[in-house]
Amino acid sequence: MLRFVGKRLWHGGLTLAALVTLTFFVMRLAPGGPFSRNRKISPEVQANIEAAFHLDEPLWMQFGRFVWGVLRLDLGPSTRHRDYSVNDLIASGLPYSLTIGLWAVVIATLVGVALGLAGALRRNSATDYLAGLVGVIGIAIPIFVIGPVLQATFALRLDWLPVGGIGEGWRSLILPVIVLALPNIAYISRLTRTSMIETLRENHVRTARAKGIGWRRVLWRHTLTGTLLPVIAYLGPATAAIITGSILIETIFAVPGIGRHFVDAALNRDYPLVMGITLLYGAILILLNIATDVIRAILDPRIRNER
Amino acid sequence: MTGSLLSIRDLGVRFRLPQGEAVAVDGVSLDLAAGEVLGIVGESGSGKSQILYAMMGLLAANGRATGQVLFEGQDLLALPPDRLDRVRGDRLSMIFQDPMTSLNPYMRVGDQLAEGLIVHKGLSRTEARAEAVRMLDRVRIPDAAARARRYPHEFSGGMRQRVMIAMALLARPKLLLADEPTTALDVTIQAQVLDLMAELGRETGTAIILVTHDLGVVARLCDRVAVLYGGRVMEEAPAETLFDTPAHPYTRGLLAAMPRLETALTPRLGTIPGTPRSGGTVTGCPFVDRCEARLPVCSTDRPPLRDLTPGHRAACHLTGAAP
Repeated sequence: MLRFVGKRLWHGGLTLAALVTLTFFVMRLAPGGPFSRNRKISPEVQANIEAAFHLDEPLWMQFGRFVWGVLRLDLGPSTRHRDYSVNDLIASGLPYSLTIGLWAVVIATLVGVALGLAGALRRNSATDYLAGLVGVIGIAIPIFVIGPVLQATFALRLDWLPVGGIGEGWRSLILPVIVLALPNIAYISRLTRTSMIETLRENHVRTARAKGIGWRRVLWRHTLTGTLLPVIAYLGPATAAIITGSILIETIFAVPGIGRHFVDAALNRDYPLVMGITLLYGAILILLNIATDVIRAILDPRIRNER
Repeated sequence: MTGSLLSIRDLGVRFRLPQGEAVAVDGVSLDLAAGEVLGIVGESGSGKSQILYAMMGLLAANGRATGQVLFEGQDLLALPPDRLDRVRGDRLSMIFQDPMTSLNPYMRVGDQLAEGLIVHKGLSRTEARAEAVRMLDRVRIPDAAARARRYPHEFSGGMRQRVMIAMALLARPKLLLADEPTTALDVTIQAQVLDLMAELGRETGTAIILVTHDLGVVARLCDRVAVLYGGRVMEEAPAETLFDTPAHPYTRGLLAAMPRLETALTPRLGTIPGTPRSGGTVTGCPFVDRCEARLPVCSTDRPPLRDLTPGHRAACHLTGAAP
């Protein structure tokens, strides 16, 4: 098991190194730079600014500087947000994205799995159809429609919750968390339902029933693991995507998370910020994938024995 | 026979399908005494496995069983699920066709065995595990104590089926249902596994119903044989009688299709021409289309099972009336 984890960590490190390299060079390939503006700046000023950010150095030196910074966990200064380092910007935005994201993941998992199991156990019942309906809505209607509809209903008309911002503590979180969770509830419940139905058809579940150990025990001990394995595999990458901030959610609900920074930074050629956030996202994704693999290996001895 | 262990009366199994209802088992009646080994033979689709599934309450969701299955005086088909659970896995157990997929891949083999004892016999986890190891040892799993802590994927097919046998016999059932227990195994270990099953069955006084399409297996292990075709019993007899004096044309066809040492040099095995009919209600004999000796009456009247000699029954218009 330790060897299994060690191997995954080593692979994760390699992936991260590749990611760092790729992001750096792809970003430089895009036309324009952080200080190319329509407004004319005198060549001296331009040269001074670029020198301050080491943009006048040869590319390999810039790359070396960047890698050295990453190793010291210093992602450098933002070229766009004056006086802010990338570390500052991430530190200010990440808590919001993380809080909303984690709640959304927890709710989506609990509700999604519950709906999926209920649907699979009572196929074609009212519960099953309701779960199916939630699924269709969650998948088919985009966030930028559901978000404003909920805002108009619960904030503007009923005045129960704030429209947006982060000024009212947990009350401010409710709508963005729900909107972010909804599509994931849909995916997870569909996935759970299908997986459960498949597992119930498996021969070893029939063996368990033949043992006469009671339906409840058959479900808990003999079908749950098989049912949840694919759900866990989905949750790893999905969680990484959710907690690193959704640009749509953060725009609709005026949440100062890092999702917005990312898009702005790319448009502004804020090299350090783009690379910083990419790296953060990459690292979280890799870590969660490793966590997923480890959990799956704990549940499924066949994965553990893979070389 | 009074005091018989099992008495199946007019068992029917039907499946609801989009294109209508399919009859898999049609009016089967069989009896079994304690410790007896009954073989049920027939080709694929003859309904032989469905008889076992109906008894265990394991029919597919669209299947329904009618009639009576009296096991130790209780009608299994009429039992509510919780009462059925007290019988199956305890006094009645089953071995399935495919050992590769019939064990839970996420659970240690020993725990899968112990589970039944904990639920049925109220043993503690430790006692049940010890009992499981003892049983694994008896089905000749080498190094049983260590093996019990392993997972199914670490066992070969033959070993997995021996684990299944251990699991089925662990609670010392009165009746063991075996659904083609060796078809998925290597030919070289089929005999070994079957002999083991029969031997342990004898030791524990367990009666066995062995469903198979292998007449060689039947000849070796079974006291009595029922030949099934189209969901009906065509002939039933003590094994020896069936092989010596088969009465039904279908049984004779099956025996002719069996490879024998003395015919090994002939290029081809005998076959029964045609294929079993599928679907539709049968008015006459289900075998009529493929029968070489059919009479006009065969397509209109269903032949009843008639006693030929004590213990030997056949459902054919040709038998009983004229020799």
